[in-house]
Amino acid sequence: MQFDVLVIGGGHAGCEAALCTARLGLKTLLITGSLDRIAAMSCNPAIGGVGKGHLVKEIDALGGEMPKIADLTGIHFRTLNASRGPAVQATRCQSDMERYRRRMTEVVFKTPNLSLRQDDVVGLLSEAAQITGVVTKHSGEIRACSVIVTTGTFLGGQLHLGHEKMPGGRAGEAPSSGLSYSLSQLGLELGRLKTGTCPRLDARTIDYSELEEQQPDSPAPMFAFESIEPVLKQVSCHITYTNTNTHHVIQEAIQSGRAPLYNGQIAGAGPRYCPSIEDKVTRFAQKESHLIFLEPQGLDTYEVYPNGLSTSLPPAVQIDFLRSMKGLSRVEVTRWGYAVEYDFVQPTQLHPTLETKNISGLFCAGQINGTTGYEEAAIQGLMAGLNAAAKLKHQEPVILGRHQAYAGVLIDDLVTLGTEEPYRMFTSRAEHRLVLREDNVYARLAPIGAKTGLLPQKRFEAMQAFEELALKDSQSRRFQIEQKYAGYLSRIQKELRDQVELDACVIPEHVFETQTPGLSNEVFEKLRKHRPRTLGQAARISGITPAAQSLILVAIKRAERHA
Amino acid sequence: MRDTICALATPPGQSALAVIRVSGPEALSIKSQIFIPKLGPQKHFVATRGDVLDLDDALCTSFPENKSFTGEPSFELSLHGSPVIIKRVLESLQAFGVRGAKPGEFSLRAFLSGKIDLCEAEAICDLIHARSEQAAQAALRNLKGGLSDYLEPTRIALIDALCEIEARLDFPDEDLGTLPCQALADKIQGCLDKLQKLLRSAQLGKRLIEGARVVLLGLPNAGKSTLLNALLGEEKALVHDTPGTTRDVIEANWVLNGMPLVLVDIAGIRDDVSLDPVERLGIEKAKRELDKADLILWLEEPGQEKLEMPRLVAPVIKVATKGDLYPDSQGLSAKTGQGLPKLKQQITQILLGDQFDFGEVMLTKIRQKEEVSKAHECLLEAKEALLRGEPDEVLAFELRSAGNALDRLLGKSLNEEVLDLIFSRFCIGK
Repeated sequence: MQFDVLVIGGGHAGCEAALCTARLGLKTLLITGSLDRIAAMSCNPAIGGVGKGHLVKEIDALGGEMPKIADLTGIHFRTLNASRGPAVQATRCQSDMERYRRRMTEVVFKTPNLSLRQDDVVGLLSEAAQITGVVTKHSGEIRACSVIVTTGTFLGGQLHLGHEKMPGGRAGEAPSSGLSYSLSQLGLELGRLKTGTCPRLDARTIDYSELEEQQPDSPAPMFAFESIEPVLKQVSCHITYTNTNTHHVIQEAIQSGRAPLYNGQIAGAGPRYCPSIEDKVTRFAQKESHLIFLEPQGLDTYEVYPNGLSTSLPPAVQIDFLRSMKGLSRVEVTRWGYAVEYDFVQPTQLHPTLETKNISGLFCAGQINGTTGYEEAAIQGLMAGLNAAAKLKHQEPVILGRHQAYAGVLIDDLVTLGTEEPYRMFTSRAEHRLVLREDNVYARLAPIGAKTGLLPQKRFEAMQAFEELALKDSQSRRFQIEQKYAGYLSRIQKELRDQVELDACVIPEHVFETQTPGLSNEVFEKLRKHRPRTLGQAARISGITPAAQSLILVAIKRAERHA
Repeated sequence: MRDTICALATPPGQSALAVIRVSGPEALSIKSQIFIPKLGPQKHFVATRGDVLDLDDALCTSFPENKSFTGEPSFELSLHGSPVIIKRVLESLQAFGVRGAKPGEFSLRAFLSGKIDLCEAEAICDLIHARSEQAAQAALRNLKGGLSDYLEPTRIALIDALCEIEARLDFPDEDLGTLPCQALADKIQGCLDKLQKLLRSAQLGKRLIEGARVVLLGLPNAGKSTLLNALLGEEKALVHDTPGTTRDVIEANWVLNGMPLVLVDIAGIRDDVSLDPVERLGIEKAKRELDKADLILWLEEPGQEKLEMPRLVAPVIKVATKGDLYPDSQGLSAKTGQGLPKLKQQITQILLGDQFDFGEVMLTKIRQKEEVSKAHECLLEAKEALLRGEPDEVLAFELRSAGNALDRLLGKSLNEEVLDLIFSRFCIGK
């Protein structure tokens, strides 16, 4: 069997990657451990949010799938930051998790050029630093020109629930074990990260009459260009709070050594912005109460996701602290919260195309690159797919600038700086935030989407027509936003000009091999560690001084002379 | 596309010649406004003699696009190597919208236009070394110890303010409370004050590096040239009893208590219709000097008619001259040296101030001053935005721009620090 592209993993990154290459006419195979779990939402039942909503819109402008499915399966849409300026306003929706999974599975199955196979990949095949295929547990060797690895939390996955430890990528699913070894064999350095999830609650045992209701926005803000209004019934979320009793239960459990996060059982670094409730109670001991959103997981289920209560405490403790909270005194748990530790590939080992620097044709996307979040995963899957296709078709790589897209900021941060904790998108990571807005996403990215061929011509033309009309109409929101920020945008444009030139200046390999005369050891070590691709990237690494940049520039020129 | 930049291409300080280089799209049109050739029209690549405004008699070489070091239209001025002339030419260029170049920026532009070859690249390499050597001596104390120590609290206050805003922008669903506007305004004001103080030091810093201009003013024959010679300890200016002997402006470098000064002797100012045209021109020139002075020594001969007080910006020291002729006047005598130490003390006191401490941080480079001014401007905007109730992302934009300017000065990076602070301060996470 020979494929153009092979995608390992059927999560949010894997789906976008496989759909992308198949739609671009490449013979694609998606291999996943369970065909019943394609595009499963392992954590919270929501898509979008500040920074993340921006990413989903970008996926739309580039021709990806997530925004469409999110719109079709959303049960509660809101604009976050509605009281603030348009640059930081962002769309978020609660999803019917099961419908989301089914819809995406259906699209994946119905896409031409895309085959599916339920199997485990246990090894990678390569010849002379070029990927040639994979070894599977049951189907033997499968050959492919490109391989995109999107294994999420499954790589060497280890679950923690109280004292219990078990191998697993997600509750009830086996981890991928042979692949980590195979990646290391190919020279990729792996790190270890940790993340957690919340217990799930039975809605029938929650007393909603005691709780604050949060209604969806009307009209509903949506993700995809064509979407007008939600298809499904819209429901509310509810809000409750932890209290001193809740905190007392948790602190006692930590002190008696029953918290894996605190008794040494979990070593991996967790995300600071998504701390477990154990962490919150310990690190912010002075805070007497934390906000908890009770989010419905779907229309056909009674399961509720208590957002803000990620934990790996033993089940007995979980039920105790839950029942101490308002509205939850009789609550029953349907699934226990747990933590998962997993391997990731330090993303500084990737090109900005998400191809590994070591092995030609091997791409990594999503949580394996140290990110967290469905949206971050999906956009990486899409970008890896676009670049795998570009490479096979001998076309220009698709690399987005930091001034063009949050996707550009995300990938540039990853491949330039690497990460020590699960990386999540924030608008504060984008230095040109006022330029990267949801409202101008089609102007920013639709031309690129159309050029790659992934955004169908018809959709592109519709987006363009809409843009043209909106920018001519002084009453349109789009027009007014441009006006509102005009002064700032022109200041940013001025700053950008220098940056774009620096980003076009590629650093040759030898700069990392032999120390350029004049460079300090410290700077040289930094360069070797990060291996920036361009002078612009180098400038963003702290400690690479302007003088060092000038020296690198001389080295670049010298290399060109010898070439 | 790019803007136009300028910099001194030769080492700072006194030298026989000094070269100022200007490059960018506007370079040639600016050149034609500040440089007037004396001997026929200017041709590219040919050094042409002429006047740089009224500042210097110099050589200018112009280069068209694609045929210059940077690849951009550019020109070079070979000036007399006086720090004063250099400073004033650079200031004039800035008045035309030319920006002071960042370190290595000419090389960067040359590279980006594909203009440097290997030999030149090596030469630049040397140049960069030379620069960092000088930086080690001249600016290191400032940049490493002083300036960054001085600015660090300001940076932290900025990061702190940003943290408050960014946390609320990125985590709208957390219960972080409302933005503490008053505390923010106070914090911004604190930063403004510190930057303002630093900007004021730029004047002193420049004086220390480039020399303060001390102008001798008085009626003809008040003894200005005599005093100049006495202060210098040499016969620099021609002295004669005839009123109006000094017609041109005479400049002399002088070091007083470790501080470099430029003593400027000008024509005696008198208003008399019978004056010959040359002296009249000299007086015109003298009046222009008064506007540029850092300090004016006002000389009066006791018992003689008084000079009508012109409008002066710079501080003034009144000096009664010819003390040997008028023993009762307690005046200064250049001949006997009577009163000279007192005058020197007065000059030092006025130019350096009472509590001046040479160890204090100051801005000595135009680039430093530009970045600090930029930060200051952005913070002013931020304060305005806060008062006007502009949306938070606009406030954040100004604070970030200010932070970026300081980071460029100190070589640091803002983003991670803001995020670190958010997560250590606020309990965030769902």
